[in-house]
Amino acid sequence: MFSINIKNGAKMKKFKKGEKSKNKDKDDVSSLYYWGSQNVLIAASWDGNVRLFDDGDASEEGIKKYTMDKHRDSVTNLDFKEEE
Amino acid sequence: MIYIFNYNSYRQEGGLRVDLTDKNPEAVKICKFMQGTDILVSADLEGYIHFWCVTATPHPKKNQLLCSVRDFSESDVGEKAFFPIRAMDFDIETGMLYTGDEMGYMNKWDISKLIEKLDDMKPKDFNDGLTEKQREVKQKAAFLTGLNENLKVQFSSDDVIQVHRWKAH
Repeated sequence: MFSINIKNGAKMKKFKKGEKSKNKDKDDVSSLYYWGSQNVLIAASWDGNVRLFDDGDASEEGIKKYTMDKHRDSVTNLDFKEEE
Repeated sequence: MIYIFNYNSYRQEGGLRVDLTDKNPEAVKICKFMQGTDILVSADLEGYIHFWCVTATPHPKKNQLLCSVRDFSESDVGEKAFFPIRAMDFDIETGMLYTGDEMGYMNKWDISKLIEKLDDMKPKDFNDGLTEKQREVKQKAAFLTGLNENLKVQFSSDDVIQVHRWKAH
């Protein structure tokens, strides 16, 4: 995964999943959500994991904060709700 | 299976799964929070749209299935055919849910009745004028007599009205 500056097309940051997937053949990213107030990128994958990446600093690589691995099979979609 | 995960506390808040007696539930294709309400909508492989109550605050229907609807198309040989929903969006101003299926059909659903019923069930604010003791007695009485009005409220597919259906693609 990459973040790109849409004003000039420059590649800003990459986000690596890091650890070996449960299923190497199915590691497509199925869904993304950007949690703007916390500068966190949430990514769902067909490998069954949902990963959180920190996008808060200026480094070239987003730091993986957490992996949620409750799903037994692919995660097809995600959505996010910020409580008021 | 839909997992509700709290990324503030890194805690699983619940798991949503349709209970079917005769077979396993179908894979979820898409899920979406209806922002501004306590409803999460999910769509499965068999063309069902499920409405769930998902909220971080106390609610008698929390993490429960409220109702399900299904739109059907007619195949070339005249049989009913159901296609999975691939995309959806919601307009809080009008209470309309828009869905699009794999055969290019769009649907407009009016879910304002569902939102209204769910909002009416919401427990009143803790600053409702009652003392802690009064609130406790009221809750106990409702539990013992089964007169808690909130528990009587039933949701059905009639709470979701299909307003319009058209071939878009």
